[in-house]
Amino acid sequence: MAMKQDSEIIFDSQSTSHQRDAAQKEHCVGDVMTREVVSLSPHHTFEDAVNLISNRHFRHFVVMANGQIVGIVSDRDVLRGLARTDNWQKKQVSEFMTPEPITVRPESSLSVAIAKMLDKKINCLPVVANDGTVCGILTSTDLLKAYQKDLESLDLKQR
Amino acid sequence: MEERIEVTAARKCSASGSPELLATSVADIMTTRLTTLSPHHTFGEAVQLMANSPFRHFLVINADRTLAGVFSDRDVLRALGRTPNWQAKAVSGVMTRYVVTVNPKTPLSIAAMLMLERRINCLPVVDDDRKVCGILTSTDLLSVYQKMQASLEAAQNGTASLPSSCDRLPAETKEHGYETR
Repeated sequence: MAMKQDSEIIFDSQSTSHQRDAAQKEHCVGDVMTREVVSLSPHHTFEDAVNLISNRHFRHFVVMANGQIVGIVSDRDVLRGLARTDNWQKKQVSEFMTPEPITVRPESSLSVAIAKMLDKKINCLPVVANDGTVCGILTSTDLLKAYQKDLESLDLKQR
Repeated sequence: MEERIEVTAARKCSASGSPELLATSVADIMTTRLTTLSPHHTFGEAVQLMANSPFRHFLVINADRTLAGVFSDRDVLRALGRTPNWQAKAVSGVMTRYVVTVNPKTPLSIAAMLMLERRINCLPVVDDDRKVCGILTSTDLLSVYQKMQASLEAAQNGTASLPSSCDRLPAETKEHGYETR
């Protein structure tokens, strides 16, 4: 699903995440992250971003330039942009994204990743591998799902 | 319209001192200290309250302490788009009325499931008499999960202490809302 113009919106869908099913296991970020990452270029317009958010279930998009992550766009950024600017349709993604986002590595422990989120009051961390490539995003919903699974298997054990 | 914005420190419904690592039901981790609104507060007052507080969800409570609804940042955005003269509206005209609630005895697995299924981040907690006794947010759940994961990792590494990154876990998440004078 490419958009017109030179800059394409890239939907990168690798295999679905392989989650370990054992209860009460310590996880790493790579186990529970979302591997399907939707990325925008800094030159996409605000309108492209709004369309993307309203057509998809996600609230966070990664902004990539030359293979490197340069920012992140969340529904919050979009709301803020809508409230502040009159001719918002024509603005570029680079003008309202959050630049230099806080990231985690796929091998990071979940406790470190969650602590980062709680500490910074954010709901999404791009997952960046050693070589600088983005391999996924970790959202609070991914974490809630992992916790819910753990809790459920605990419930079963206690029965 | 002289209703006060209430800050209540209700008693914990659970047996106190139960370690969070063993949390299994809503009562173990819910926030009992609440900032609540009455249905008669104006929209303007509610938005002020939200702007001055780090929280996004406020319970709207009737005089008999039963739940009237939930007022969230989403409600504000929706109303701003639609209503001219929004400042004068009452909270009751803007809030979400049909709210999914849990009981203090609800297992955490069910509560987490409800949040995921309904795509919500907040569940009011009401007791058997339908009176409000707390609120459970996705942040409450994540903070417990963080501690659980940290202790599992510590056990794995053979160290007794938690990683240093956990020292600064926001204890203030247990305090929902802010003090009004």
